[in-house]
Amino acid sequence: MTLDGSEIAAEKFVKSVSEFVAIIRDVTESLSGEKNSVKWIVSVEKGRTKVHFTPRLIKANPAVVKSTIDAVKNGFFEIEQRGGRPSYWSDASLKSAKEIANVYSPNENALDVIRVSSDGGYATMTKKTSTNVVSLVGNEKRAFGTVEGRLRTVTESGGLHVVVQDALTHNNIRCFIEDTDTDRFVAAFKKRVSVYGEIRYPREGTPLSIKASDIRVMRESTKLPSIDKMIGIYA
Amino acid sequence: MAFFNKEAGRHEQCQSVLYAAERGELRIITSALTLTEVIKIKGKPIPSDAEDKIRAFFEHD
Repeated sequence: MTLDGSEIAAEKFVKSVSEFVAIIRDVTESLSGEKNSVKWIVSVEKGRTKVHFTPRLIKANPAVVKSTIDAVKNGFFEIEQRGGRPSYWSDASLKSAKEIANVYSPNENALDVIRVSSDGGYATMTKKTSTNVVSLVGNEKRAFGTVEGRLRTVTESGGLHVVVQDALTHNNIRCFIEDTDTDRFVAAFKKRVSVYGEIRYPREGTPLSIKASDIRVMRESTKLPSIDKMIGIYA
Repeated sequence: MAFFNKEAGRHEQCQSVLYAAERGELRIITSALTLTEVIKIKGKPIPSDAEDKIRAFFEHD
């Protein structure tokens, strides 16, 4: 990553590097499926504001490192040039990219080049990245509600959560749970469930994730009453 | 309510919509308030088994 300009404040430099490390670690985890599979070594090129990030394999396959580097660099390009959501980038990574872009300040003649490069080319960043991230994840809303669907996954990767496939949209919704609730959620694995909690919505309104506070196992469709059995139930 | 009360001239219309949903021709989306409206009727308590059946009926997807 290159940060260049006539004057770069120390806090901006540190902020950019730490947010960049957060992105690399997040994308590595998405690709490898586990935490801390690669250790990233940071070094600064002598006399320049060029920061190098070098992988040290711990558990990951070498192919994961190559894929991570491509996904990070291509991700910056995708956000800046196309305003799209890059593959393997979480919302947290998008927000980190926004933080890096926010240190770009050409009008103050202080930091007018932010570039992410690897052997396969480079991507530059401007304030456009920040604007595009706001479009992708901005104006997020939170509200209490229920998500209904089938509980498909239970995992600790990326924080203890289960994944419920929404019955309506078929989207996978991450339901973050407390350690103490693990048994209840594991017992509902593969079942139809209704999960209550604080739901996080993007602008378009389909749930992204939920901080789950309760779960109810629903009956299977075959055990629900038919239309014929309900006609005139009050008559 | 027309469907659950089997109101003449009205329940048939509800029924045809429900059958169409069962055949996958349309999808019925309703608010949780609808459930409350049909199981908590002012001044008219309903049998608990009917309430359970209606709750279950609303679980169809």
